[in-house]
Amino acid sequence: MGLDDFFVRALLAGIGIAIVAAPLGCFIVWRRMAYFGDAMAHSALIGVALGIAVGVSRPAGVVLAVGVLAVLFVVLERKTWISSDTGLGILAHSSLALGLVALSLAGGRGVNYSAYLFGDILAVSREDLLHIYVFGAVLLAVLLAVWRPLLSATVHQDLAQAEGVRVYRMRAILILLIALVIALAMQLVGVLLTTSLLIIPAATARRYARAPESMALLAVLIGILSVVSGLYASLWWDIPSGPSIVLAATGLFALSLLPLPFFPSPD
Amino acid sequence: MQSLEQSLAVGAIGWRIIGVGLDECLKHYGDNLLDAMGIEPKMKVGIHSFTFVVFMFVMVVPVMSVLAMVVLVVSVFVMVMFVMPVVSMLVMFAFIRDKGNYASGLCDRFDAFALKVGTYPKQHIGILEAFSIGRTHSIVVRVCRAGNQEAWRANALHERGCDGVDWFDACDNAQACLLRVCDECRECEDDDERNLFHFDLTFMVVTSGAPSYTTSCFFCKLDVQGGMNTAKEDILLRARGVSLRRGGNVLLDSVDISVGVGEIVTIIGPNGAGKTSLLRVLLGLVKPTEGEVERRADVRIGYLPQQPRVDSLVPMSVSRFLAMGGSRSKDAIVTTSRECGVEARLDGPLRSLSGGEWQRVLLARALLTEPNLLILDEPTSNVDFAGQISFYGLLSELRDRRGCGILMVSHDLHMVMGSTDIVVCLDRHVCCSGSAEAIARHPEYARLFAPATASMLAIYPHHHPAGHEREHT
Repeated sequence: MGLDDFFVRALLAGIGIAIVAAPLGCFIVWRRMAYFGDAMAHSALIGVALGIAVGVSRPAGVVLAVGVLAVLFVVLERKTWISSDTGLGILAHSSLALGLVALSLAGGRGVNYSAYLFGDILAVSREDLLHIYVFGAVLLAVLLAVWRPLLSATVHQDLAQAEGVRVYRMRAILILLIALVIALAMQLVGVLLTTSLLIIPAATARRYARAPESMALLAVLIGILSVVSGLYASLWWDIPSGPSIVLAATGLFALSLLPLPFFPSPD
Repeated sequence: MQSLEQSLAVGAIGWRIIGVGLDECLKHYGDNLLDAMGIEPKMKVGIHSFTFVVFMFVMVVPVMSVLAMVVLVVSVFVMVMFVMPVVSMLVMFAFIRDKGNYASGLCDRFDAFALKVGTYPKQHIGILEAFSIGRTHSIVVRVCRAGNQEAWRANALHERGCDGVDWFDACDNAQACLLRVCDECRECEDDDERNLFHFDLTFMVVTSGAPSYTTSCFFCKLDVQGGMNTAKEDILLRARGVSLRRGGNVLLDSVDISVGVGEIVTIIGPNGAGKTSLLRVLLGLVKPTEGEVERRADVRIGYLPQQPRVDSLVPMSVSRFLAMGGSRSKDAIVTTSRECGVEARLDGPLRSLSGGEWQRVLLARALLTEPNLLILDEPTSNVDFAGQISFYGLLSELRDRRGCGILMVSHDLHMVMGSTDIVVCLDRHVCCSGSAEAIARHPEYARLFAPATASMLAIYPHHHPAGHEREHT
């Protein structure tokens, strides 16, 4: 068993993603951005097509596409005659459709859609692994650097702004970080399931956490647990690996709903 | 039946033109025709292009021009029938409103009158209002800003029938001057029908935000002894000519307001008057469409937003929330929360707070930033009456102890009137501003808060402790 084993590589990749995704997932949960994350993940497919067509690397294409979608959304959000969830719905699904069309145009008939829609964690190469850990470390470093102001802006935007936090800059940084983590995570679980890897561990941790930091750490642990158990389940029963990771996370979330004697249900 | 068939056939051709495209259609029908005429294929292309161009000129251009004519006629019709009357009515309305407000008989009933000299909203031309309460008489002057001042002065002086006044220069740059004159100083001199004010006065300019200045009064040529507490370095926050528009709605219309050191300024006004919008502009949360907000360089704002309940999903204890405003010691947090009466809730989660508790927690957080300017948006909307009394007591104490300026929006008129230095009456624009006693008798105030309410109001004057005497009280 070493890095030559595809299963070990998959495990390491999954754990790396879980460590990065969980704290960001907390912010998505706190800020009620789950649907927004979904829309961003869907638009990642356009980025993949862009990568194939133009020849830029895939993460770069994905980050670009997701960034463009985020800008579009901010523009659309200002139109008050359309509610922001409707705007997101339009953007999410039209970008998914555009991504599929662009993919078929760019890649011809030989494109394996399911690899993009549902991911292929078992195909992770050593290079991918390196990418995940290097980018993941950068991501976490940035997140740690802006943790305080970002948290402050999340708890109460107006108060934070009055106290001198640049809330719009914080929002932009958060969106960029989410775009990056989507670019990393979509190889594991694909564009359709990326958001679940972000939010389900965070939502599970919310049940037990009393402080934002403990929630983030707990979410990391739960994320790792879901990845490991999901991958072993996929190996054992021979089921697709991405969905089984998501199902494992969902199972943990379901467990957290059960009443526990020492954990009164959260506020 | 035949006509039906014909029209169906015509419709089909029309449909085909729309569906297949004009060019294709011509080609199709034209080809059959040309074939029937036995024309060579080489010629066909030329003939096609020719017919296409001819068709465009014969059919499309006339149709388009007819359409354009129709649109033109309709729009002219709409302009003449609908837009013009509305515009002219608006113009007339504005004219009538301006002219209708002039009070006549300036001096014969001095104890309650309002004189308005031209309100031209777009030009920042001022209002001149005078009213008196008991034995003191006040004139509120709202002066236009530079540029329009000459025009306004000429107009105002013309209306008042006097000239050569440098009194208005005294108010140059001032947003609202409350000039107080005592009864003895007031003389109503009726020289040659001009009904001039003639005050032998040492009047004090007590303004919300006017810079201090020394100049001589037109009436008495004495030095103006005013603006002592409103020297430039004592202004914490000032807005000039702030307007805010959102999608065609005017939320704020050239509002001037300022808060000085140790001053309690309260904004009152009906719902939808733009109170919260104004606060958000002053805080810098929203950029005004026009105008500017100046803050003193060292101003630290403690802000209490208007929000009845916590909406945050972040798991967090109350003490952690309080600590987020700045790095504060545990002691400071405990002391301040005791001061605000939420000490018992410190270790509880944020989401378990009730509306009233949340408001007090927000106040504690605002205080923990050690502000020199507190901005409070309806701070007592969820607090019972006893709580309100202690809350306003706390505010006065804060002002006295820390000398911090306080700007708040409030609906507790009875409390506001007793514990506020300056009341600003807002209804998208500043209707009136001045000391609480003056405002309570102001006609604009009465208009906004219904005469019945105004007369029911009991006024509790707030007595400042020694050393905090204010010039306008």
